[in-house]
Amino acid sequence: MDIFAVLASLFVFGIFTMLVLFALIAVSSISAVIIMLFVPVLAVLVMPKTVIAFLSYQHLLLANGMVPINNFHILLFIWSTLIGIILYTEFLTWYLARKTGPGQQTESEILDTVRAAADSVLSRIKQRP
Amino acid sequence: MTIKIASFAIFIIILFMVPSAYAYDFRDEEIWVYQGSFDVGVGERADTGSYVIKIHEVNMEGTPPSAVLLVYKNKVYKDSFFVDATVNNEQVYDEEFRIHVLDIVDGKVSFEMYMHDYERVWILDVPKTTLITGEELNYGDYTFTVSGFGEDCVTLVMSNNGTVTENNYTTGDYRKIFDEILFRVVYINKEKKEAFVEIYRQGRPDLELEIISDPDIYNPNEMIEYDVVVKNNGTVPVRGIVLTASVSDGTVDQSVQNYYMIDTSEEYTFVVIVTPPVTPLGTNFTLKADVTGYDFGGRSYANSTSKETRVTSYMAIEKRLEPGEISLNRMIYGMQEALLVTLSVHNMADFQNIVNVHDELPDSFIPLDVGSLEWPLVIDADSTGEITYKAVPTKTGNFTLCPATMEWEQDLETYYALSSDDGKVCVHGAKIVAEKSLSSNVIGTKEDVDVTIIVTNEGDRDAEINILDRVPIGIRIIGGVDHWSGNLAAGSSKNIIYTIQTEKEGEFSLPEVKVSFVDVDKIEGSSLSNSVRLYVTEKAIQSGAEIAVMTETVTETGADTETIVSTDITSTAELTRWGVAGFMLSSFATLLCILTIAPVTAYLLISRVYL
Repeated sequence: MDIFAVLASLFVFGIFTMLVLFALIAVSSISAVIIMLFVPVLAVLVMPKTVIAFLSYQHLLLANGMVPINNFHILLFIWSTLIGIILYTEFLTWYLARKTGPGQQTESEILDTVRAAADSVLSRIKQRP
Repeated sequence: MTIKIASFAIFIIILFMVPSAYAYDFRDEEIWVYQGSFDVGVGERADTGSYVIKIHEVNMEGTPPSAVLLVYKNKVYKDSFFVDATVNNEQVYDEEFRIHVLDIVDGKVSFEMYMHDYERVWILDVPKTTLITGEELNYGDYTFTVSGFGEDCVTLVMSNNGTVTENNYTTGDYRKIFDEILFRVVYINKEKKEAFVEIYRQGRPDLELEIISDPDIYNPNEMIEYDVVVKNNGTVPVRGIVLTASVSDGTVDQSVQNYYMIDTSEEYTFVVIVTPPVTPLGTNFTLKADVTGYDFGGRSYANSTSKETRVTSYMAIEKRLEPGEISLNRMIYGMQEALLVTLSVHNMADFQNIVNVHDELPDSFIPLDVGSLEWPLVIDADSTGEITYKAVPTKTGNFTLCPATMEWEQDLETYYALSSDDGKVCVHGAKIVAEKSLSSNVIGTKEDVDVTIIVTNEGDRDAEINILDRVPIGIRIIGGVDHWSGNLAAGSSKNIIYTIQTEKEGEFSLPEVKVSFVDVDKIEGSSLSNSVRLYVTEKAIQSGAEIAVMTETVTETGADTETIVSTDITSTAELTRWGVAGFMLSSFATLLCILTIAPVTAYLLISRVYL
């Protein structure tokens, strides 16, 4: 294993991941997806030899050489991770921001409940000798 | 008359043949000639040539200590003498042999021996010189001057350190002056008033010493025999010669040796036997020989010399190769002719040793029936261990095998030794190597493919070769020939190309080509090429697809001595930018779809239940 190739791969994939996460947080999920997909694809189209050589660099062989791990695989791992993050971010955002259902309390009712609970606690405190 | 002349001639001849042994010569003196000084105990002997003295008994109890000496002449007992170091210290036998006892100490008698004899004492130093009246002859501190001539004599004045002496000499007269020189008038020419004179001086021996040993390097377990040659280059014999030998390391068998006399221009050889030192690295030691001898008057003369000798390490390794020439293809009892390597390890020390022996072979030699070329070995004292193995050659040429090495320890130090000579081996023969290849390993049906067979003679002998190839069932030859016979010179190659085609899809194994040959030495052999695989598809393979073709190469010589298997994986199609981009897009889409399943399902469930 060439340590310089590993460090270079870590650096490239780290920059790529940070860029996608920055876009997700600062801009939008859609922009993050676009960056995540098109940056590698455009790179392949613009510099095919360099990028293909980079992506096909083999880091190690698993299972007695039967499973090679190269940068293509690592790119797919990162993609799947980032896609998962973006999808569940969107899903949770939707879930938390959705309207309340018919069986749930309104905001004023929740506030009344909270106030009643607070009064009960205060009265108990005052009754103490 | 004739009888008289013959008788006279015989008389003259007999006269010349009879040595004048008893004739008096002015150069000889009747003296007690010193024979040597000896230090001998009971049972020991002192030898002067004709006389031998043995010590019968020594009485150290008496005052003074005394001894009884036995005198032998020409190995026959003659007399016995009671001696001591005081009043009985002089004994004479038969008026010709004298013993002078010096001391009796520690059971040993020290004595000198003398023989009464006529001894040549005066040796000519200044040859015949003519002197006339008033003429001087200088010799050291002496000056001889002719002062005048008488009727039958000449008057000579000798001056020495202020002392002036005048003497008359007739023809043949001589005078000894202070036992230093002898001045003699040989002849006086009365008519011309000339005197012919000679000067003699006392002779002296001159000892030359030389040590001779045959080789200069010895093994530590062999005794070294030196010849110490003592030559007397002087003018009188030397007697009572004592040789003392010593070595800087090791031991001398007999350090002191005696010999009774060496005449002028004669030599005597003492044999000195030395046990050399035993060291792990080998060493140099010096033999020093000192010789002392005496002239007739007992004056001593000495000389010394030394010689350095190299002794090897007590461990030695020797490497032998048999035979020196090997044929690459000759079979002996069904086996390829092999090189027999013999490593002999010698332990010349008097103790056991454990050694590690290591040998190396050139890459083109394969050892037979041995796992590695390293052997631990226990060698008993003063014995030899032997390792033998065989190796077969795979190439022709002249090879120099590096020396074998040996390693052992002594006193916590590790020592190494190499075998002395580099072994040389010459391997001859034809080495036929065949290689089979295809113009393409993947073809479509009814597509042509060329089969190329390259046969190379990598040996150093020409060979008559016969190439015969065959194709498997389902493949037909549509051009060229698959066989060839002819002469293939050393270092040259022969190419055969033929074209095949098939209508059947699948994987075909094209078998090895067999090449049989006979070299110029009438030695037969055969060689096999590699086999190749051919993949036949319905259509020709398009660019962009990925196919890996495995080519297995198997090369065998006729004697099954070499098998090389190599596997090459070759990519027949290249990745294009669009292919990679498409692959990435499809991968991304696939991942997106898979990962979206869970949140979409949750979304649908939540929407249906709560909304």
